Amino acid sequence: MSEPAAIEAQQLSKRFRALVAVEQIDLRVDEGHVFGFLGPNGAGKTTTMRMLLGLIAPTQGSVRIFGHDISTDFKRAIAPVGALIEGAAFYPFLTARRNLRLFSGISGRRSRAREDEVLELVGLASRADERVGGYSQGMRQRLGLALALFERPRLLVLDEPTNGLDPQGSREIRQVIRRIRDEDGTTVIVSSHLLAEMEDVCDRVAIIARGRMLRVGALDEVIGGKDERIELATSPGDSERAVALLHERFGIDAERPRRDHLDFDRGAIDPAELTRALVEAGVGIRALTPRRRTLEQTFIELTGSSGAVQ
Amino acid sequence: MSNGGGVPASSLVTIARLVRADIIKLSRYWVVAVGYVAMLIIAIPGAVLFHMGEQFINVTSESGYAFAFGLMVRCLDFSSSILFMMMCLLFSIDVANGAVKYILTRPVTRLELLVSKYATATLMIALTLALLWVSCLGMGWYYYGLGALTENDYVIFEAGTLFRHIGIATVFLALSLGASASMAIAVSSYSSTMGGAIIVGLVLRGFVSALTVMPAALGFELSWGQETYHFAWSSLAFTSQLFVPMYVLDDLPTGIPIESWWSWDITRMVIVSLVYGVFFFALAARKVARRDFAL
Repeated sequence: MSEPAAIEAQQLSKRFRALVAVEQIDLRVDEGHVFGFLGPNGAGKTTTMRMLLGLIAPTQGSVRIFGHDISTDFKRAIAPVGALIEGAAFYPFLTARRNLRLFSGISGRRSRAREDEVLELVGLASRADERVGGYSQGMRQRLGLALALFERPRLLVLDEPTNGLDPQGSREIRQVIRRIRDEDGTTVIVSSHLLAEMEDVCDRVAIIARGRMLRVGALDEVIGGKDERIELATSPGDSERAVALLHERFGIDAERPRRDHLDFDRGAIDPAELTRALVEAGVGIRALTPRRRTLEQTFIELTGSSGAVQ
Repeated sequence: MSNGGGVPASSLVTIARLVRADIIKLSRYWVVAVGYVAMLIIAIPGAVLFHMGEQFINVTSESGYAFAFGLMVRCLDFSSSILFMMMCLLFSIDVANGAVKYILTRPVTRLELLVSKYATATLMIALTLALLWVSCLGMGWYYYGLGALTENDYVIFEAGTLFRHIGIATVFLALSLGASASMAIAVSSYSSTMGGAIIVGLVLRGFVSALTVMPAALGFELSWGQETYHFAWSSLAFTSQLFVPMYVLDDLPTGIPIESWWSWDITRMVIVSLVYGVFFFALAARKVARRDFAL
């Protein structure tokens, strides 16, 4: 018998009266993976996260965490989970340390040493004894992550964890995610609309829009690894000749995103052969870079380029 | 090393942990601290004014117990309002600060969370009554002394008897305040803001209290064994039922013994308190079970 998935959702749907927020989502995340949940604002990411954690009941479908059904065996299902849902919020009149102690006490896992450890990990050790009321949104987000990590969860669910963080803070959070995956084997589900950072940490991703799962799989599968592109930087004035050559010899219509730069689908072209052809035609090459299609390109293709809330 | 979760704690242990968390946060929240200090601050100068008033009109309580009971009735009036407002914070403080999301993503069921709020409210009631009795009896002792109740050196009641009755009255007072707690928690469970919970709670409490204006003759007859009792609609103002145990207790310092605590007035108070308590618990349980606290 195979190991149960870290989390598995089947036919998960949520309706708020006439509004279909999430429709028949199937999801499976195996243990030890970092799973990215991507979607534009209002796509249904947070609603799905809430259903995964039992914060709201699905209209239809089921969720199992390490084999335990969240609706019928809630305590066992949720015990190995750490979560940061939609913006960290704490009691503002308590210090960060006191907040940590209060929440960890609910599971009976209070530990001064662990408090120090997680506060250090998220970079709040020096401000731990200040009241949370004086914290910035970024600091609260860090504290939320500290709390989510406190009990060394087997499954970590992070909803937009880098919201309110500066670039350095976002980078640190990504480092933490990688570290707990590599060192503790923690499974992480992370939602975000910041695609670059998802590309940086996730093994698998799902793209959701208008409550529907559009694509799910390993990062390369979702992006479409075969559709690599090539970026060519020519010597000044050579780009016209390069465009003509590409069209005549390889049947490629290259885009010119900026002066002396071409961007085109690699297709079946061998970069070595292309280089030779360009040199023979007297095109000066400053750089020829095979480039994978970005998650952002895939995302925009799938969800539409509009940034409007759905 | 990740935490596998293990066997979840029993409901009793979980509720105890939730109550501890409530105590930690409430004891550090200035509004609650101010509420309890206000109860003390108003009780003690109130006693001084009460005593000065007695002297001014040449009337004396003559006994520390009579003084304490009289003072207690007055203190209960405002203290129960302060306590009610503080109990309105029990759920709303978690919801308004967004902390309820963390609580509900721990191995805690919603029913355990709700029951823990009732347990915390019980401790708040116990603390309120303890503070009030200490203040009132302390001031009674200060002005008149507290010992056996005597008249012309004849001992009417030993101190132990008086304190036993005070203890019984306290249990009934707690039951009545429990109905208030149930209303406060129900209102709190519906609210997303602390201010909203307090305002709506006070409006609802005022509305229920307004039932006292109904004439006592309006009501229905209730047969119980051989006896028939009149149940006035005005009794449904459960906030006024709070004073029933004090009226029973009030006879003691005059030398009239309490034959039985189980009088019709007390029975009615218990019925009213239980009906309100259960009704508001059901309302709160329904809301807490269904509510999306993350919104």
